[in-house]
Amino acid sequence: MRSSVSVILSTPPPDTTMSYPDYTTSPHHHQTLLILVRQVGSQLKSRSFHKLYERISRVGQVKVNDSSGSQRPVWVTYRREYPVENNDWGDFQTHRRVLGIITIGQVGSQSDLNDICKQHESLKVKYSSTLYDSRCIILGLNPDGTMYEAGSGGVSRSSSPDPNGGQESSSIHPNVDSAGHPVITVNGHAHPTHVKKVSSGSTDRDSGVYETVGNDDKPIDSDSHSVSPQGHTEGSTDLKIDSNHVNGSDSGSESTSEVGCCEDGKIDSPRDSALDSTHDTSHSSISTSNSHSSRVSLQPPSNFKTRALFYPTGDHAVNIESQLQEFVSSLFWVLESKRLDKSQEKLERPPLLCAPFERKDFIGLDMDSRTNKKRCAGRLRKQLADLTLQAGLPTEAIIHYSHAADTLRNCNDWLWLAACFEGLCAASVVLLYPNLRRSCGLQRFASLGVGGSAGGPGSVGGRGRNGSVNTNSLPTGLEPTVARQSSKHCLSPDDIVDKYRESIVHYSKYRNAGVVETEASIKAVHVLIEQRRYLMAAEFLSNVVFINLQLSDEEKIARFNALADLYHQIGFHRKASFFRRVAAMRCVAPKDQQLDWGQCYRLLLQTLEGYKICLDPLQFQKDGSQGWPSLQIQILQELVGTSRRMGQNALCTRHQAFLVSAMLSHLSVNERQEQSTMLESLSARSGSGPVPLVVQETGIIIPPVNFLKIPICRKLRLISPTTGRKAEKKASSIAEEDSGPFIFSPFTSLSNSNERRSQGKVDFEWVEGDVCEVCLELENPMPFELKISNLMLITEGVEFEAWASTVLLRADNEHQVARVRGRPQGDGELRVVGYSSTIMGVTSNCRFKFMPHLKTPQYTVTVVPGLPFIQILTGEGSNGNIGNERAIGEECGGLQLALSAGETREVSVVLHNVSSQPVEEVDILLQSKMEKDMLNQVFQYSRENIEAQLPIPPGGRASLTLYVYAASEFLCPGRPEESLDTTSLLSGSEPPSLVSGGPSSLPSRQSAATSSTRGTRTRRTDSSASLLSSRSGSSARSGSSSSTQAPSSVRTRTTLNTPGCNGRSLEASLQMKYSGGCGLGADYCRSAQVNVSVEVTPSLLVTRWDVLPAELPHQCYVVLDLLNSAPHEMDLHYTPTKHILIEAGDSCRVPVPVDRCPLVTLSQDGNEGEGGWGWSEVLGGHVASLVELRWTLGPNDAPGRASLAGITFPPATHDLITMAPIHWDVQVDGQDVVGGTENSGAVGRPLELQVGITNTSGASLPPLSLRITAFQDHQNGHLNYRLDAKMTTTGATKLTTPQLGEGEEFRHCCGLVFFTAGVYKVEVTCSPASTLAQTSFYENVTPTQQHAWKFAPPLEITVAEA
Amino acid sequence: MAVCVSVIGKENSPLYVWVGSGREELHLHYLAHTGLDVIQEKITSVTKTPGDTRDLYLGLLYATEEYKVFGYTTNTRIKFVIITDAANTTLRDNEIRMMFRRLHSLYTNVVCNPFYIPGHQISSREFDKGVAALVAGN
Repeated sequence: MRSSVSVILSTPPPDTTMSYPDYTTSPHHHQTLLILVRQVGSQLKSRSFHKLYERISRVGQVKVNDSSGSQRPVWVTYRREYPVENNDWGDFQTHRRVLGIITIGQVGSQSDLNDICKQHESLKVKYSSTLYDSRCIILGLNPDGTMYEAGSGGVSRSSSPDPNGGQESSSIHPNVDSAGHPVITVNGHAHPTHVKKVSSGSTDRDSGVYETVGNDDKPIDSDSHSVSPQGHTEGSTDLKIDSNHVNGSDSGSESTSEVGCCEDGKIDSPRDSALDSTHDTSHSSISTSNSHSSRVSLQPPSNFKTRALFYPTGDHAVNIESQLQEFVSSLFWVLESKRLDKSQEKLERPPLLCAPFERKDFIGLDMDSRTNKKRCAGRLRKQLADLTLQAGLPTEAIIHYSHAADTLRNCNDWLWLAACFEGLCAASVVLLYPNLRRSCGLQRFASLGVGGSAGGPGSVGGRGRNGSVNTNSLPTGLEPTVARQSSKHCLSPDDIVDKYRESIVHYSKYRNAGVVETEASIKAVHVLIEQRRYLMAAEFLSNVVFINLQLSDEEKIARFNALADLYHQIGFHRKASFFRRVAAMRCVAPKDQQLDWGQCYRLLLQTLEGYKICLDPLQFQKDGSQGWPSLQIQILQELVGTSRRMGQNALCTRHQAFLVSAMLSHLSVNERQEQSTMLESLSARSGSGPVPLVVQETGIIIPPVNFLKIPICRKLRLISPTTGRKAEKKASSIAEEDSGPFIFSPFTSLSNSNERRSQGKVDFEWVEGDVCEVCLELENPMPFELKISNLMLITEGVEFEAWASTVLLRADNEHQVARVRGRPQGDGELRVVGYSSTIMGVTSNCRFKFMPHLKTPQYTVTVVPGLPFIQILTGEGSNGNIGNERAIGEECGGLQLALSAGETREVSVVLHNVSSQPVEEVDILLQSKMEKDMLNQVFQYSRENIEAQLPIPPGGRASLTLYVYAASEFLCPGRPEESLDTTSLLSGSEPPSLVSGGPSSLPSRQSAATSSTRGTRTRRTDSSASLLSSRSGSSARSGSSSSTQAPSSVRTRTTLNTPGCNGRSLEASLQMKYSGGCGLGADYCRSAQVNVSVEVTPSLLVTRWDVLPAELPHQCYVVLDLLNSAPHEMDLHYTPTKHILIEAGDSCRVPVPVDRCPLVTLSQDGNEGEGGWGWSEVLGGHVASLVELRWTLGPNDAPGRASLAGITFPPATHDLITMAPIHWDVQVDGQDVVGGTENSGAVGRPLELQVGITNTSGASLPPLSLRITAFQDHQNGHLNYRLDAKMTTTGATKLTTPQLGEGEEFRHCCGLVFFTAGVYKVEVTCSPASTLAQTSFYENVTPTQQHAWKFAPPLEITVAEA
Repeated sequence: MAVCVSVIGKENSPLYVWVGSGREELHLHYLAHTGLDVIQEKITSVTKTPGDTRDLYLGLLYATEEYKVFGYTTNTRIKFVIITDAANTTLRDNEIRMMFRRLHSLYTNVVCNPFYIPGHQISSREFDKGVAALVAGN
């Protein structure tokens, strides 16, 4: 053992310079005691070591009552590493001395313990020159030295199940152990240590060292140790340091520590005591059973002479703070004693203190010279000052320092003078800036311990790590009065800086003092930061750069890093980043054999702040303009390169993606190409997704990079479904919205729509399950063709099945349209918030809200529940077989038919449900510009038929037959058919023969001229009617003279009607609103529209018409001039039995027998008409209802029919059409006379003529005057009424009938006596009785005319000679 | 005379950087960039007294072993940084001052151009020429 120690002692070669500077140093370190904390042994986990170390380092200050009773703060610095070379500088600056050592180890076996003890001892030896005291914390042992049974490793646990298995912590209660197993209570420090104080004055080494020497009379061997626990030998104690119980009286120390543990434990958890009782028994039983295996007590090796603290685990070390306080105060007392020794002793020949590198300089010098003596005295004084400062008396220290400085300046001892200044500054700083010490990070809890110590922290709030935010520092010139008063020698803030500068200048004269100079500079920087004089701090820092130190690469990196930290603290972020980068580059400098890319990468990440790079692209986008692009690109490229060397391909791709996306605007065209190619090759190795990456070891999160500007999305449009697929709200619900009057207000209407637009609300709906489309207008910023794959929408709200698409963008700056599709899977509100894409292997999620060039953060569209969709097919004709079907609709064009006028076609319309939803409701509506009547005439379908076929299952069909009738205006009276003999018809309309030979009762037109002068025509607006009337009026004048007047009006008519007659088209749209499935429940439907256009070619035209009396009294002839304007021959059926062939273009005249119109209908409907002309329409309707023209036309014998709807008749013809109101019943000698019957009589024999009148009109007839007139027709147009000589009558020939009720009959008899033979005719007429009396009724019927009813043909009597 | 002339915008991003031929461009960029730290510190520390017409010339910002970095700032927070060789001892402070004044007037001419958008990169042939004359020392 001894030999090994000596080996260790001999190994460190005497090095005169300090190995490396401590970059965390601060002026306050001058005040502290240095304690080395080391981890020893191999068992201790570094985590538990760190935990313990943290607890230890919290004890940064201990208050000790000194001999005079005043309280002194003692500050401690803990170090985990401290080079022995630096320790050698302890004479130069005493705070560099390691005064205490604490080792922490974990034992699992005896050999571990031995190992730990050995290491501890060797450490002690290493720092033996300065060491005052040490402690060894050993984990894994109970305070009595037995093995701690942890749940994991305990043999007992595995062998016998313990009911209290979870209470390992309570099982090591000291009470139990001591009570239950007193035998095993073996003390860990069986060897009483004898503390012998080496006389401080006896050696040249002025540091007092307490050597813990093993008892000479060791009674204990390694084999017999367990027997004697008493060994109660009190070690010799130094009386001065009575509080320092270094003396390791075994049981004494043990008992104290034990009790401490015990009591603390009890106080901390009183609950445990309750458990104790139960636990006692179980534990004891277990321990008895396992006593052999588990209750092993360990013995430290014999040469271990340090006070050890046993704790089962780190968590049990509850009293470690108090132990530390005790330890620190022990150190303090040693220090204090030395200080007092020094201050009191007056040496005749003071020893020469020197820095390590100076020693050889003084060899051979005359040590007895006056200067040397003064030098020695000065140096000694300086050291005394150091000690005083450490002992917590800064004001005294300042005095000592200034004295020493005076002395040393005189003997030109620059090095020590510099150290003296530095100490002076430190002491002043301690007084002026007590809070500065917090910045060193060791004193986070100092405020707890400081309390009211000297220059106490009169401030609240911690000082930030970053020096620029020190809340607490005293402004220059405003130092606390306490400090000012406490020492007159205390330096002013400005002086501190000056003195630091001076000392640095002096240090710089010595090559070997580089480390000290560096540290002094750093201390000065700290002070300047506190004073907020950053520019000057920067000067000091730049000086540090120039200090030439022989450092290893690792140290150089640490140095640059430290510089970076300091620059950071003074707010020079760019400079900090610069040095950080230098440090990073140093990590991978080619000359270095082992390149540490990982560290380089981590350092580079830290530089980003200084270059204003934020790896979050969104953040960078905001403040990216502040940076220096060329440097940013450089650093990003270095990041890419480093991460690639690290093998972190994902990171590498991420950084490259960031470079491309964020720096795009700063890259030239060539660079864009280059970087993109690079990105592509990198992403081929490892793609980059839109998820954050975590850098290993550091936990730094690299946010995802989304290509928001590659490509640039200029515009986004949600595409409305095509009209057929559009969902509509059902009519009922729309009406609710539109209620209220339409009032336009710019404030409500415009702002509403603007608001909607700005919120991205679209005014149409998408349908669940339907393919929806969004249109993106993209712009390619790259100089090459950009391939975007997996382009799809990001949506929120409704579930949406987004479909990926691939787009190629040309390399020009034009907007290019990309379409993205998808299918909503539910109903509700769908928000389109962005799109995702994969470009160059980088998958990005681009959200609109992050795109500055898009104003709308999201687009909202309502998705309505699924609706069926039908396809409309048609097979023209009723026999439409499936093969002939074709789709119609808006897309496929409508239904187009070519029909000749009057033709009817059946079109079958098939609704094919092509969706997955059933069609449950169909509503068919015809829309057209045509009049409704016309529309219904042209198109007909059966609503019931289609409704009976509902619902249409998915894939099913329903058919609807649409009857299309080519309605047309067949009446075309104005055709300028000059070839046709118009006059003949007109003149023929009233041939004289007709008047005489008309039906049994024909009205005679009296005063036709007056009728035309009544001015009724002027009231007529219908030109056709007026034409007719004018024509009939002319006909009434019974002359062809009318033809002179007619053409003018005919001409106008022609121009008006010609287009209507020559092929016109009928257009209508068949709208089907249908719904079904879920959408029906939500009141949505779809509409399909079929446009039907019917091209009507002319076929038959009625150019003229008139009425003639028929043979039968209840009939009349409607005579029509028909023109076949179709290009084919026409077979026309104008009555059920009669038909005629008309060649194309030919015209022909046909008489159509028509039943006369009963007066009843006339009086019923006619009253509503205006005057007499209302009658013509009623009569026209009557005729039209009776006449139907049918024909077959053309090669296919296409059937057609025409009605005369709209035909009107002039008043002149009314009486021909209407039935007479009376019925004649004429009898001659009791024989009924029917038209044309031969009646014979004889001369002189009276003939009885009986005339009966029956009122057949609907109403009662006013009195009529009946007249019976006989005459002779000479058959030459001459009628002879003068028959006085030829015949006579008996009875009245003129009489007035009484008023006849409906259906009443009046009979009158008279006799006729003929004097000569011959042919006689008797005319029986009936006219209204008197002009006065007839007004009431006849005015209504034909107000313009005088009526008279004749019995026609006139009664003819052939009288023969008797 | 100068090895690098840079005009730096309000947001501390460069508007114009001229680097002498044969120099390490990136290195000089780094120097100018880190000089901004000092400029910022100087500006903030000086403007504590308002109304004080401070000197636009900021003097030597810092020096490295090879170069000296000088700074100048306009009232609109446009910064000029000129880097010279540390070895060039003939260059007096006054001459540096003159260079900055000339640079300032050149910059003013650029800003006077109605087509120049302040804050954008300077790309002006006239300015290029002016800087070339400036660094040539005539």
